[in-house]
Amino acid sequence: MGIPIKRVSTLIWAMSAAVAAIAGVLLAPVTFIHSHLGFIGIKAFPAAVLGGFGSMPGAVVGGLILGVCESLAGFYLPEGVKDVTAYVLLLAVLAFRPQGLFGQTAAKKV
Amino acid sequence: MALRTSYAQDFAWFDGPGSLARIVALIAAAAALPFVLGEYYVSQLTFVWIYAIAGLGLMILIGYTGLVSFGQAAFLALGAYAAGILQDRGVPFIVALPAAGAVAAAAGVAIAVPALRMTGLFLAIATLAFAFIVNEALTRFSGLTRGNMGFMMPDIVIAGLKIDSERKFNLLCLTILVLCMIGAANLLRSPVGRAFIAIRDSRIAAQSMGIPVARYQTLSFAIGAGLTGIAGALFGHKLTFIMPEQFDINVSIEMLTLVVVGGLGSLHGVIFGAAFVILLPQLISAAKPLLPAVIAGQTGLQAAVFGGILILFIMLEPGGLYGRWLRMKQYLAEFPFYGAATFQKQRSFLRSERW
Repeated sequence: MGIPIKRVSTLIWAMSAAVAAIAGVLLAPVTFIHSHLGFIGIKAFPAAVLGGFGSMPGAVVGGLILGVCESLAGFYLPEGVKDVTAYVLLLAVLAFRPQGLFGQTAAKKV
Repeated sequence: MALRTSYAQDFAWFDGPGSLARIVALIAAAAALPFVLGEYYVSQLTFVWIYAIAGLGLMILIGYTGLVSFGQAAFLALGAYAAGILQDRGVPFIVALPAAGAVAAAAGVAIAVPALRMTGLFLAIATLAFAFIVNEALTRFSGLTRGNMGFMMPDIVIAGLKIDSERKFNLLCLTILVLCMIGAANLLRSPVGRAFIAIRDSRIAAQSMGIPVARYQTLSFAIGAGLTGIAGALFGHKLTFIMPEQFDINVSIEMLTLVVVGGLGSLHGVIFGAAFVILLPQLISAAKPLLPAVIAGQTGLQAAVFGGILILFIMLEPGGLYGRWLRMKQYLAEFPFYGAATFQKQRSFLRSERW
């Protein structure tokens, strides 16, 4: 159909990196900057999975739910649970609702 | 690879008697190494054997069943802690080692159940999440694991014989590696192993041929995790003092580098990969004085080199070191006649959808 695949996928990587960089700029005043800051990025997976892959509102809502759950867990549950809330939530979503909150179930091509 | 003319040859353990003799000679040479090398090199060699056992578990998962696991560090940690705690309670090493494997295998089944419906990216994320949860749990259940205080591994005693020197421990690790290798080689030529490979090449095709995909994937997770758990027990004994933070995501990435660099889908590759992963940090520290101070002083130098090599291997040498070794052998065997098209793969395993 005439789509330059290489150029488009390069562009997607660039856009993705730019959006993540904006998040980094906003995050920097809240936390300290250090070389392991990248590990925050791992929490982007639970947020995206929770909202549903392929859904932009899903990513926002997923991130919001994740943040609220984490803070609540930090307040009400014993110490240490806060750090794994995101991952427990992720496993639960993958096990019970793999398409996430807003994702569509796409038929798989054989 | 020799030309095969019958199914019996395809099922055989070795490509003829010469292959068996070579393997026996190699094992004998490996067993002689600790008597020749100095203390430090014997210690590094022990790490190679331990990593090879752990890599074998991941190789069965990724290389043969096509299931990506970022959670190997968790299985390694579970194995180490299970062995340590059991031996602290007076269980002999001979029992504690398989028990460590069993604990890790049980964890593998536990992660496989929610992971059954996932492939590729989702599975990678789920196993990564699992590794974080296990790590946090090991830190918090400090009554059992002593958390961040660290856990002192007891001495190994086998039937009254105390494994107190580096050399004895090295030979113990080599023995266990050889046993695990024999087990894995045997598994992969059995119907179970064939089913794993079929699932790797195409889940849907395997399912339509009547392979219960879910059951075999769970089994693959159990075996992969169990082998890594056994390696974890030995790893713990090697370190003698273990803490949860020694089993972080970097260990999982090291394991991934091991199988990719060694060559996905080959048991030989595990040894090549383990040697590579252990040697590389040594080479980096040896090269440090030669580098400009700005680069040599960076803390993330090792991680960067690991990551870079992983990317280069995936892009340029998907067959890994073992694939390169096969090509070199073929080049020498057919010396004057080697051409660009000589090494054409007959079967395109691993090229199909895996992740």
